[in-house]
Amino acid sequence: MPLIQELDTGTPIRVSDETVTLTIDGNQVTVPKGTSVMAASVTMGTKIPRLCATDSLEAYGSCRLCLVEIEGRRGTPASCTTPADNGMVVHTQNERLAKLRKGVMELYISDHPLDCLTCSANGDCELQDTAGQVGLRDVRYGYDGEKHKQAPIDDSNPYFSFESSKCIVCSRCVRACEEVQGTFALTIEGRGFQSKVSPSGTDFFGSECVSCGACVQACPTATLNEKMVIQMGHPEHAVVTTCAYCGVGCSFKAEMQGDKVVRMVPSKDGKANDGHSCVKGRFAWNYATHKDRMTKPMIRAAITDEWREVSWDEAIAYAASEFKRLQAKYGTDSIGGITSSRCTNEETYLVQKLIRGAFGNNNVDTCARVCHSPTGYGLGATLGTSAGTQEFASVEEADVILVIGANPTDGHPVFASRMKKRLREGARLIVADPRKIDLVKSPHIRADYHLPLKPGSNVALINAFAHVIVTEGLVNEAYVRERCDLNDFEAWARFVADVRHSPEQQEGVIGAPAADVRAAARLYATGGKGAIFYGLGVTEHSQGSTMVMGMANIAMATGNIGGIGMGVNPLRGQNNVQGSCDMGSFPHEYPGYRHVSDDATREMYEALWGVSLQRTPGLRIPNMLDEAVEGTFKGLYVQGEDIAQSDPDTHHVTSGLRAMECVVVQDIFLNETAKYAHVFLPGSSFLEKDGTFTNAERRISRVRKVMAPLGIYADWEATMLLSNALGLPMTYTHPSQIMDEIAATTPSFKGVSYETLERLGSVQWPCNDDAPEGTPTMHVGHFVIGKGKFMITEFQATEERAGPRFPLILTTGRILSQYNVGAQTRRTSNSMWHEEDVLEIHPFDAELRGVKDGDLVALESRSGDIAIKARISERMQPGVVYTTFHHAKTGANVITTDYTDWATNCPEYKVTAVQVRKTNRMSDWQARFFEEDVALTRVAPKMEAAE
Amino acid sequence: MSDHGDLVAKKAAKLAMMANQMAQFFGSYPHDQAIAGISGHIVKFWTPKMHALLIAQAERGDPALHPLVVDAMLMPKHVESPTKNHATGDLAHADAG
Amino acid sequence: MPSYDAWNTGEATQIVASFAGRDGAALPMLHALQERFGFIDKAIVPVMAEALNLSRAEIHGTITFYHDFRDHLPGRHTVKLCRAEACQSRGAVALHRQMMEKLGVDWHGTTVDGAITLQPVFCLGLCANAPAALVDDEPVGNLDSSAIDAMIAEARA
Repeated sequence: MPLIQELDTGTPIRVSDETVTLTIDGNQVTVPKGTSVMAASVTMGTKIPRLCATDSLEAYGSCRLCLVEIEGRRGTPASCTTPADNGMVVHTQNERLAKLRKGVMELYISDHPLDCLTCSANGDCELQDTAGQVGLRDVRYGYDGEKHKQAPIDDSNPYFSFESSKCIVCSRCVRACEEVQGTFALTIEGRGFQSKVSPSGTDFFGSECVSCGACVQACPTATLNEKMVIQMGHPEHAVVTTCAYCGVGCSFKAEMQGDKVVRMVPSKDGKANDGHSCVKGRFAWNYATHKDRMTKPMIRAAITDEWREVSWDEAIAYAASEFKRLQAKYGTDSIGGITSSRCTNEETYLVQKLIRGAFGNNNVDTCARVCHSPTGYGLGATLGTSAGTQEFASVEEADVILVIGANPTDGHPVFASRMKKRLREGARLIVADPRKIDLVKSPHIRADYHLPLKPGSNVALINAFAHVIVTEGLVNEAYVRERCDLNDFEAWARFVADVRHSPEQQEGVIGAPAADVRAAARLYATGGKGAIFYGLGVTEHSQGSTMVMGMANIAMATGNIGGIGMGVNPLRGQNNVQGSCDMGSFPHEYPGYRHVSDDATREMYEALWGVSLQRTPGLRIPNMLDEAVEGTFKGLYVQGEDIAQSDPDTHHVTSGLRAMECVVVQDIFLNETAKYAHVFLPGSSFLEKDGTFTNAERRISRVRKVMAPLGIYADWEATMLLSNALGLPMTYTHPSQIMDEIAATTPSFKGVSYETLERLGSVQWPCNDDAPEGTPTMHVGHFVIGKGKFMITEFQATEERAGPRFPLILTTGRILSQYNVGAQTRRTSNSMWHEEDVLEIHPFDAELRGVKDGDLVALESRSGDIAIKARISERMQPGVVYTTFHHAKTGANVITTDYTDWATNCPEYKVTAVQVRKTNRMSDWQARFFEEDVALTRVAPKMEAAE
Repeated sequence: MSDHGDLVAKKAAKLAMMANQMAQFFGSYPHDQAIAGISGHIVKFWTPKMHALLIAQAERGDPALHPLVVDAMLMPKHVESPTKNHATGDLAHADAG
Repeated sequence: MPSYDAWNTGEATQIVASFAGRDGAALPMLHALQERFGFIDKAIVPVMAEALNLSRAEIHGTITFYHDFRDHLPGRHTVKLCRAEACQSRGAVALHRQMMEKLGVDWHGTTVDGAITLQPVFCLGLCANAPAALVDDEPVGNLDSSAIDAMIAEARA
């Protein structure tokens, strides 16, 4: 489709039950109360000239172009700041207004470079358009006076440039950074004619700017412009697609020239992101065409051999014959696969279908194992559904926000901006995190309570909360009586009322002052609508599932599920980890979370696929690796996952991989896991295929192909080739057919189709006859499970404890600019912000060890050791250190252990006992890493085509 | 071979650890619910092979096993698991073995 | 002639802290800092941002909005010449040009010998005594060429 121009009403759209009716240029128009005259005029079809107004920002009234005359009122008010009122009679055009507008325009143009034809905004410039609209013909001031035309260009940000000479000081960028992003990184420096947009007196890169691009989007001139547009010129058509980074799932318009992406612009219609973006989705997408992209299948007999490029046919035939050989020799259960949380729903569905139908076993698992599997277990046990209960927009009505074990300003930035907007409006905030994350205190945001709990004490904290709620009479009795199982509630209430769970008695374990814990619990219970947001700081623990249940318990006890502004919200990490779970990537579940022993479901699939299916659970990833080491698991098909970098206890992972005889990796880059692979199939990025992703809101959105797959086949096509070679026929010609099969076989997806998605844009499951347009809020009126089930959550300290040998606790996390294993972001300019992983350590702990900022330190646990640079940081607490896992060569997971959540085997990444000491050399593992980085990745030089 | 013996012992220790973790969670419930919970969880999530190994461990009287795990593997169950929502197939209520 | 203490970020931080918790504390902080040190060093921007829970950009914008807040020490004497309409009607424009030529500075500039900093102000409310000025915060009125010369000579003494 051609470039998508969304309607811009000039001022934000208002929603109200009341309406007002006014007359504009002789036309009667009715709008919601609170709508500005400018926006009312747009709905009527007339665009009043404007420059400082855009509907993503509140009205500002500074440019003085949008003046109108209103009968009965003096002067010429600005239509952007004037609310429409009943009976108003407005004139938007007459001689006086025309003269005033020309006068304003004249002033703007008197200090503006006139190189329109070679300017990067030529054809896409609101200043140009508006000058044309008001009919400016000459500038009587001449062009010789004081000017800003020689202002220097700020090129410091890798993705966009700031050309001050073209700035009209409309302040849209400053306001976008405040209202939309919430970072407040820009200001107007000076005053009067000297007014200048400035990122606090430095350049953009050195400022507080987080490169979200909101200012670039808001800028009406060429002042803030994408470097790609400057280089390439304007795009000529656009395709709406969904971001492939995090679980927010922002909707973007991929604006193209031919099959080259010029830029990704957030789509205003995106329900998840509401027209906003972050540095990754907005700018860091050209990893898709990076030179490291693998585009040819390769095979090798041993991992120490060179890779040999071969045809698709040969690679598929080799993989299929190997898998068959292994099953013949070692048994049906000796091979398995891992689906991707980054690939589409359709692709994931095919992988689990291949494993179940062609491999004949249930040895399929996914990365959700290592992140949110406890969410599935915990919420399934208490509420009956293994997914978040709300949509993101729900945060706009929350009164109390409780953030536990999540750092949304880094991990889910676009959602965090929405949350911060609500916080600035006055919602209260409780943050439970060992670190002093940005949400605790940053410009205009201050948490009412920061509970700096010790890693591993989550359940003690939630029990303390529950204790306060029950013993102080803060339970919502009516809600519990109506909606929950009373026997379970009474057992639970008796349990938490015990004084051993009180904040005072647990203070030593939790590490946060009892008074704060009490006050925070009271605030959550009595402050109005309470919404819980949580992340991997909850799930990646040995009691991850227990904690999820604990949070559901207090949400039920306070009546905070089943309405807008409340709920239990897991911030799911990956773009399609929710989808991957929905599509049956678990060894015990078919698509739609139906157990493999469920006869009705299994028989339906057996009939549809024409095979017989195993009725008992298969192996989870950790167990696949265990059995590989034990010699009984021999083959693995991995699509779009890098377990050698992302999974814990790297030594165990690589031992397992090495012990296998056929590892097939399907990915866009030669990743860490591929070092141990025998077959490599080139994967496809989100730009190269059609499909759908499901975000943390259960929202299914379209991914649309904008370029041909670099490796010839999209991931779903590659899986089909393998499936056919193994004897399970797959003949889909388009992903929509795969979705049709999913919809036909999965009750919660019954109403989902590409046609529905075209019509509605996106849809939140369940989407079926009961909810044909999807389900924004779950458990309205009653829980999916029937009566909500309170679960007993006794605190068990993890086995992993600090001791004399390893006195500190390491916790891990994400940052804004790099994404997970960094495969994508390290291949973009985002590396300018985070070139290496560092170890954050509190000044006290550092001083004790003679460690200064920037020193190389050895980080050691009982699993292994690495060398890493130290960074002294006040946001840590004594006793806790922190690092990221974005760079393979750091080897952060060499340190993490094999302790896991009791219910799901989700690894306890967040608690590892470590010691830190100064060093001056790489660790043995790191040295071996550099050797293997060369030895196991060699590709044979290309030979001339034989035929 | 001692290597194989090592692996077997390691496996048994691993299974015991995972099962004991379950016992710590379900231990907050009355005995009959606790053993239904542990058994149900294992049937639901473990492969039959792992389940069989654990039963064998219980029958051997492996001292590493929490008493509730032993009971869960060997005693009949008469009530539903506290996390019954997860148990959707008939196997969830089947006797161990 | 006002005397200032040498800039000391530690002491400046204490001044900032003493105003924290007050409503609209930014301007009182900035006035207090300039009173003590004669100017406002960039180093205090992150300190103020942290104390007021604002961004560095916002603090920077506030400081630069007011001409009165300086980012470097002024000359030994500060002369603020009124440029408003009443003073203009009494020949201030020509007078100011004279003074700037004699001193060799433009608006906001300091003479090479560090004696005088020249700043514009808009309306001192001394319209009946136009053209008016402030010399080190002392109001003077009815300025003419000789008054200017005397002012310069005294400042350089």
